[in-house]
Amino acid sequence: MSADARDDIAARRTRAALRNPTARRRAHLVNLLATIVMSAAALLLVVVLFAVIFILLRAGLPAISWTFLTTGGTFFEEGGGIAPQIFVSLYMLVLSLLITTPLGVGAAIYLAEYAKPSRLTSAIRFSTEALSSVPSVVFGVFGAVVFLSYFQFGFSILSGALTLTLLNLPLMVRISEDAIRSVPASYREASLALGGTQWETIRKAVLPSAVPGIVTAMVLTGGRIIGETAPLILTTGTTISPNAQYSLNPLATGETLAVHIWVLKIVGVPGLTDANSVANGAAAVLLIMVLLLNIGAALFTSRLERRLRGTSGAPRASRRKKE
Amino acid sequence: MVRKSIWAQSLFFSTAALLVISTAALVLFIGGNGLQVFRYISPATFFLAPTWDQNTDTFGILPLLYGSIMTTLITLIISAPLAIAVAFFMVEVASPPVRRVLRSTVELFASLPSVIYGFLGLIIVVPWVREALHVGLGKGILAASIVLIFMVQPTIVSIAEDAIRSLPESLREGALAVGATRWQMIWRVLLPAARSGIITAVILGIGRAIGETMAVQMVIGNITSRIPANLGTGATTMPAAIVTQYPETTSAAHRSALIMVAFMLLLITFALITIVRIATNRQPGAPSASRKARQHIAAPIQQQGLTEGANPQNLHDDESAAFDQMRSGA
Amino acid sequence: MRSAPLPTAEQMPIASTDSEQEIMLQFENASLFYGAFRAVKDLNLPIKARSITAIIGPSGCGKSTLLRSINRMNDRVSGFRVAGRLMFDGENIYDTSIDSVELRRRIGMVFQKPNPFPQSIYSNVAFGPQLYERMPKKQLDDLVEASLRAAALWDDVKDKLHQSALGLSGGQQQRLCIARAIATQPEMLLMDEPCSALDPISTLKIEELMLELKRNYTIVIVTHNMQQASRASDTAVMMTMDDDRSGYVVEVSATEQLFTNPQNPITEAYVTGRFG
Repeated sequence: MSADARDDIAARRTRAALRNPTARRRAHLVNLLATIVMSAAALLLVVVLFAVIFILLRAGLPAISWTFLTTGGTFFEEGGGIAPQIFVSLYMLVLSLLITTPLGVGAAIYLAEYAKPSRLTSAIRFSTEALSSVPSVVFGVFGAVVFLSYFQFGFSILSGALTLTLLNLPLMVRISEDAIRSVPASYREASLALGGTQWETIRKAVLPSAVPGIVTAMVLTGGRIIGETAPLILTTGTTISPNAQYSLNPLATGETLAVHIWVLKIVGVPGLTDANSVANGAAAVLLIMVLLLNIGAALFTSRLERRLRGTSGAPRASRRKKE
Repeated sequence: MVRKSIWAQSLFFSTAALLVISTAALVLFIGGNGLQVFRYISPATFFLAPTWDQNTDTFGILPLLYGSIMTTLITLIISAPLAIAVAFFMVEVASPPVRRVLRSTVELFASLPSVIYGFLGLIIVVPWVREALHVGLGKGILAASIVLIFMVQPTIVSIAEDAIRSLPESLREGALAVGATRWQMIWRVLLPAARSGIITAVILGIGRAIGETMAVQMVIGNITSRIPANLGTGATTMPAAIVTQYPETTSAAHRSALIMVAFMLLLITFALITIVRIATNRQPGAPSASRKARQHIAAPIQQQGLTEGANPQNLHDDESAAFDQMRSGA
Repeated sequence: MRSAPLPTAEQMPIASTDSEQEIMLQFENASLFYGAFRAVKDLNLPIKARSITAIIGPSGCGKSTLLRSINRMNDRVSGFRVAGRLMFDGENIYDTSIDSVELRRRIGMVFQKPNPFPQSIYSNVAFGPQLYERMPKKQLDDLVEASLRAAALWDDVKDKLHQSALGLSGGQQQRLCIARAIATQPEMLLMDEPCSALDPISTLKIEELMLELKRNYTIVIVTHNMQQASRASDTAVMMTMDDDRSGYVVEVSATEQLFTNPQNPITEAYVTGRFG
């Protein structure tokens, strides 16, 4: 190696050495600090979630018993249960889903299969977007004005179910539309090639495949219905008439479990001495119901995903319609 | 040539049209009834009087507005950086199993009912504010803000995470190849590049905070008659006042005043989504990070799994999914 | 070509006039693994200083993997590891004590698709230096100008330094990326098919640029374009994929010799277009 070349290397080495090692060390330190801060933030969320679930269950589980879940509330003594409220919650769930699902899936079918880009379609999409951003209490007021007063349903499960339908419609539409759109085009093409009308194609080739996604939509909507409180306070009310505790009359007033928790803690039930314990138990039950629904939906979704991934692209031969 | 059956198409069209009709009805009924309030009170009183008192039929919205603004402000100041940090952690630092855990955590936070948050606020936050922080009697704006922090962060985390994840890998490689540390890459390249998606996330977080009803109502004290003196004194927000007073309105004026408050909430919400639309449509060069953020945010967040794998098209605007997160779970 | 005031001598490498070139980088018995899969094997490859080394070969034979292992960009891929040593400036860069962040200041990279930051042209180029040095504005301005001149982009952008880099054409963006890479005054420049996304005119411009740059930088370029390799490089490295799907080096020699008189039949088959 020549002397020039050796100098060259030396110069390079010097330059390299002079590359501000302090600044570099500082940058690495800042990097480490940032990593710690970000990790702490993430850890905080996880810890808080676990703490929340733990606290709720620890406070509430002791209050839960078979009696608790199957008997009605009491007014001036201890030992009452939450069975009527659970009943109302489930009734509300079923009734609201019965209304929301056909409407939502219908709209989804329209948007996915029939709609062409146009001002009207944009209006529909914009409305869906707008509706999905409105606070739930505003829906409650709307429900009170329209269903309760104008249609004169009064405080009733029906008013609440209709209000919740409006609230949940965007969610149902969106997830169903996704499910319908993700049915491979080849299913449709096969059916159309065999001479089916568009509706026949949808009914026989598209919808069956979209059913799992639609079921997911229903489960998620169900989770919402069980948890909603504000709209129901304004439309279904906060009491269950003692004579009609397990009534199937949709025009009866009702009190879902979620509303009941609120009533126990905020409004107060006169004379109820174990209100706190009942509230704890109710909160734990509500939490468990919601967790089960959401975990169920998540498991279902991931099973669905695996199925869809497995058949992405051309459907397997065995799936083709045999006609 | 596809044969169509008209009745089927009309049937489905009518269900879709229901969405438009409902939105219009919402605006008309709430606006129509709300504006009635000006038959009883002058706009000046309604917007400027510092008291909302059903006993004297004086309905000034300032105490409600104050509570809404203060809680939102305090919540966002803490929640936004927290959520953005978590989002960056999830995308840039976390290993895949940790990321999955965090996603599930955020999802679960999002699915908890509002009453549960309020319940926890009552048994944990309010006593803590009262005894550990010695702020007033506990119930008030501070307690509400603390609860809101945890209600709002799933919204911000999921949208921000998506915006960050949508940034092209080439951007990261470009930064690293020039000798940046990971933090330098995040702070100097990724954060600016994901700016519009992150701003969208924060705006939707604001919407969520403003609209939240039950959790706030349970811990804020529900005093509407004056603007609170400190963060631990009974206060109110717009949604909390509605849900507290509507079931027992004392007069037609009272009722229409409350409906007017609901109308204002509606208008604020629409304004926010318009801002988001504008912000995400105007993107100079940065890749469609925020557009995808809008499209991709399935709400509930659980759906990300479904739509990601199953729907490569994502033809429609899934902002509505994002906006779902704005709505309070009450 | 240079008419503007240059950074001082300590800041620019000294061009050596000695014809005997030193080895800048040396692979010693190196194999590159993704998990259990050996992507490249048996590397014993020297890279000469201040020359252009072109790595050619069919798709998938590990050229990019090899290139990216030099500045440790493959560290981003989980499961990546290196057996053997990669010597640079007397140290094995895969030693655990090596700071890969500093390494990347000394070995810059230009990617296949231009990837300027969605920021101004100025801030793209100033990005690297500003990571570690707080310079007075004048010094930074000079450094940005020198880098842009060295990348043959100064005249195109001197009036719009603060406009978005994304407004430039593809070829200009790539030259901007080159300017960005050399702003940190690296010793080596790695180029991963830098012209494959560009039109022929931009490609030629960049090739001219490379010939200028090699006076001060060691360049290693991966390319699919054999004409480019034969036009623009001093040394050519022919790689291909073995039956076990590992890449390996078939032949290394002076470019002209490799193309006109290849020693290995595989090389000959490739350069005459019979495969790849």
